[in-house]
Amino acid sequence: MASQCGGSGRLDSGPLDSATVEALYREHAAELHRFLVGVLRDDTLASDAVQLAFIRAIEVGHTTQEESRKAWLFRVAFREALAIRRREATGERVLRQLTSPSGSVTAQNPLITHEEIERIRIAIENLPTEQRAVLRKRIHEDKTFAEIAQELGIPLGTALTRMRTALGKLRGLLRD
Amino acid sequence: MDEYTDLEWLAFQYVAGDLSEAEREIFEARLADDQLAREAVASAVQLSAACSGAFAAPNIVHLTARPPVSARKRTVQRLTVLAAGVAACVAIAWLGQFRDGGSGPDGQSLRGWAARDATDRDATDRDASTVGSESLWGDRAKMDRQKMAQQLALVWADFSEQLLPEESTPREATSEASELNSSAANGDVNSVEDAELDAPDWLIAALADEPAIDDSSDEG
Repeated sequence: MASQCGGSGRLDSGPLDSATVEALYREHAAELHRFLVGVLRDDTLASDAVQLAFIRAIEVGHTTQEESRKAWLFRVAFREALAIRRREATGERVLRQLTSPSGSVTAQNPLITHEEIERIRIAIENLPTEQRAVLRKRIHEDKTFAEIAQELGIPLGTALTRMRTALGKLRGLLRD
Repeated sequence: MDEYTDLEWLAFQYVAGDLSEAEREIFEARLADDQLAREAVASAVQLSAACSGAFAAPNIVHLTARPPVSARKRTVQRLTVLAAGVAACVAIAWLGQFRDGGSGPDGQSLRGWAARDATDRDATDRDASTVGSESLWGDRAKMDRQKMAQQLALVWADFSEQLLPEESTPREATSEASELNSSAANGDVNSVEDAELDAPDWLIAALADEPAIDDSSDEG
C-alpha cells in the first residue's frame, strides 16, 4: 500500500511525459544545439550533448519548475558539454573549426536555414564597404583582427568597431 | 537598436575564439549560471553561421547579370531565323536576276534616270509643299517610296554593271533602260510592263508602285 502510494506519488511527480519532452525539444533544441556548438566548436559533439541533456530532462526534468525549464536544460547541457570536452580532449583541436571556411559552419549546416542565409547575404551587400571588408576577412577568410587591421591599414580598435557595428546590423535580421 | 551589446560582443568573441585563455575561462564560468550569456552564445553561433554561409553562397548578382540559358537560346533562335530570312531574300533577288536572262538596263543609264528622277521629284515636292499639311504627309510617304525605288535602281545598276559585259551589249541595254526610264518617269505602269525589259520583278514592282500611290493621294 505504501509502495502503491509511493508509486502513485512517484508517477504523479515522475518523469516528464513524452508530449512535454517533445514540446521541450521542439522549442529549445535548435537554440541549445547552437549554444553547444559555440562551446564545443563541433557539430557532432554538440548533438551528443543535446541528446544527453534531453535524457537528463526525461530522467529528472519533473524536478524543475516549468518556467525555469529552459535555463535548467541549458545548464545541464553546458555541464555535459564541458564533460565531453574534457573526455574528448577537444580543446584546441576544434577551437577554430567554427570560424574556419571549411569548418562546421557552412551553408549546408543545419545551424541555419537557407532563408536566413539569404537574408544575411542581402544585408551584407548593403553594409558599408569598410564594414563588409572586415566581416569578410574575419569570418570568411578566418583572419585575426590584428591581421585585418594590418592589411587594411587601420588601427586594431577600428577593425573591432567595424566588426561589432556590422554584427549589430545583421543580428536584428535573425531575431525575427 | 542595431547596437551589439557588450554581452553579445563577448559571446561572439568567445565563439570566434578571439578570447584569451583567461577570458575564456571567466566567460565559461559565467555560462554556468547566466542564461542570457548562453543565449548570446547561441545567437553568436547562428550569426556566424549565417555570415559564413552568405559568403560561401554564390553571388546572385553574377547570376542575374547574365540572361537565363533559355532566354539566350531564344535570342539565338530569333537571330538565326532573321539571318535565314535575309539570306533567303538575297537569294531570291539573285535568282530573279538570273531567271530573267541576266541582261538588264545599263547601269549608267539607270543612274542617270535616278538622278533625273530625283531632280524632277524635288520640283514636284516644292509645288506640293504649298498645298497644305494633309498633302504634305502624303508627299512625305511618297518621297520615302521614291527614295526606296531610287535606291533599288542604284542597286540594280551595280549588279548590271558586273553582268553586262558578258550577257548583253551596252547599246541594247542602254536602249532598254531608256525605255524603262522614260516609262517610269511618266508613271505609266503598263508601258513599263509592256516594255518587257530584263529588269527583275522586284525592281519593276518597286517602280510600278509609285503611280498607284500618286493616284490615291490625288483622290484623297
